[in-house]
Amino acid sequence: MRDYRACHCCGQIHRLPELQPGESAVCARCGHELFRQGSWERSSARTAAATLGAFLLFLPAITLPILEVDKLGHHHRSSILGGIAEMLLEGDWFVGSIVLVFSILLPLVKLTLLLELSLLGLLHRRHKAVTYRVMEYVGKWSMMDVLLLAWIVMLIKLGDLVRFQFGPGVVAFALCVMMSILASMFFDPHAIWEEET
Amino acid sequence: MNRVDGDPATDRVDPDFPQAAIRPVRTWSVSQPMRTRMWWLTLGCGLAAILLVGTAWRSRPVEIQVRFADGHGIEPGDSLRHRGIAIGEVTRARLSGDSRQVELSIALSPAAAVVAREGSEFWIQRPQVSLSRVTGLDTIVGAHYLEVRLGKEGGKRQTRFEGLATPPRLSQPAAISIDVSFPEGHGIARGDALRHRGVDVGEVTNVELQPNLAEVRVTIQLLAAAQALAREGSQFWIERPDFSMAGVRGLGTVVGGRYIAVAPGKPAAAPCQQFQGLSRAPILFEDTAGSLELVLVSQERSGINPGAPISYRGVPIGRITGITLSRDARQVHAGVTIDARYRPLVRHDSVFWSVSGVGLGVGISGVKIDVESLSALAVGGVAMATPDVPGAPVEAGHEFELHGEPEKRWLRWQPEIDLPD
Repeated sequence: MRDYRACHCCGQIHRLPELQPGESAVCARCGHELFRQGSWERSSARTAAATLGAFLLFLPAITLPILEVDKLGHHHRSSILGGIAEMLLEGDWFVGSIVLVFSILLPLVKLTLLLELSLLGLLHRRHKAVTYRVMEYVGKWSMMDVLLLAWIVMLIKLGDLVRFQFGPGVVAFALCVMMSILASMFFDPHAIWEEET
Repeated sequence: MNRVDGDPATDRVDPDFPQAAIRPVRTWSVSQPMRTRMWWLTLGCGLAAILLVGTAWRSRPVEIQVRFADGHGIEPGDSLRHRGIAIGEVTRARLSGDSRQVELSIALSPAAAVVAREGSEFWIQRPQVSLSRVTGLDTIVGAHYLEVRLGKEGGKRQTRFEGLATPPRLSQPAAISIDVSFPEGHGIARGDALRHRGVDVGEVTNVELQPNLAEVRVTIQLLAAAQALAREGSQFWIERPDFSMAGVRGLGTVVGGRYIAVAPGKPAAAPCQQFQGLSRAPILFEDTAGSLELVLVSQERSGINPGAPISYRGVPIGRITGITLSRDARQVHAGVTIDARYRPLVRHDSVFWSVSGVGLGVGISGVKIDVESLSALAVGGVAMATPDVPGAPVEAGHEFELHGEPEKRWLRWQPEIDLPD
């Protein structure tokens, strides 16, 4: 078996040697790891694990109350989903649908595609490639982390004006964001191609 | 990098690429498929999700619905308070299906879920300023809020309530309800108090004109502590300003609003929930124990009124309780109560005479006006005297003649009678 691999780090192309179990191929120039026995399985498993974790946390993250605000005797507690519903009901279609699409729908799509690519094996290679490109594209627009940041900025700004309290949704949301970042970090596109070797 | 151009086959088969170096894999890596430490992370996420959902579920609000005739500007986000702290929040305010009422949905905090039980009463706190009391001032500048009074301990769970129109006067839930019919309402209104000995023991919850237009029926909720007032013989009247020469009463009601007063019936009387209210305050005696009831008989009423004092040497010792005609209508009977302490003064041979009105005598020395007291001028009065050698004590119900004029010698009598302390 002859196989070539470009170094992720410096771009040097290598021939891959025959590897014994317990060995890994590293770049001759920069020392970056190129290939390891079972590396795609490991990457898939890690991605699947992180994706599943993110999935588990996604539902509580958007439905549990994320914030409880007390202002001038008004008490308000809201979840992300509830907040979006409120915005839409009050006729704030633009902002409401933007938040809905970019922080709920697209992340959900991204997670689903990642899970499909890493674990389920339902698709043929070629379709996997298409899926991968879609995922890459969608991933750019899935902005859970941005939403989280926006929340944090808002809280810091509002800190002096109102009394607020974190709800359990914040923890779920932060963990979910972490998991989805981990999942995309672990995902190795080579796995798509090496599956059948 | 040396690229060998030319034979593509050679180029494909044996390119001049360096072979990657080989490095032993660190021992912690696990390479079997599906075996990665990340699964622990998934498990952790699952547990975290369950935990978070669990805590959120435990602290989920309890939803109740309260209907009001008037919303008074309450909005979603306004709080429900109990004893001054927020225990819930209005989540939705909307008109009921028939547009006659406002229906508020309230999310109770889990710690206050007990509020959702039978007998809890809700009202909307709003500024209320009257001369007698000022409440809800905090709602002028702050947000409106609802307030609740808890139902009885152990009440059944309930999530739909009818709100009160006015804040309840009483701090505890009422125990029983009584109906009192009055000939005249004197402006009594829902939310007014029933008072006994100066404290609120009940609250008027409903005032309605009877269909025959002759009576006003007032429904009163009584506190548990005052439950005993609901017994036969209790007298109810509407306290209102009353100015007369005998005294001024009910002045508090001029500025403080009307209230219903009650005089309890005899302690052993049977329980009763329907009463006939009095049109005016009855003449009451604070301590009737040991007092002596007598009857004065006269031909004329001669100017005396219920409440008029009985005096002995000018000192009040009792009162006229009531004046009626005798059964055969030939005489006037005046009921008299002599205070317990002065009981020994009344003997079989005591005499009573009326001192009402003004005694006007014209003599050589000028005009002489006799007025026992100013109050005697208005409501009349009765004087009593007992001979120097007093006779036997009298029993209750003894009848005396009420003279119009005293005889000269009566005024000189000075018997020595021991009075109890």
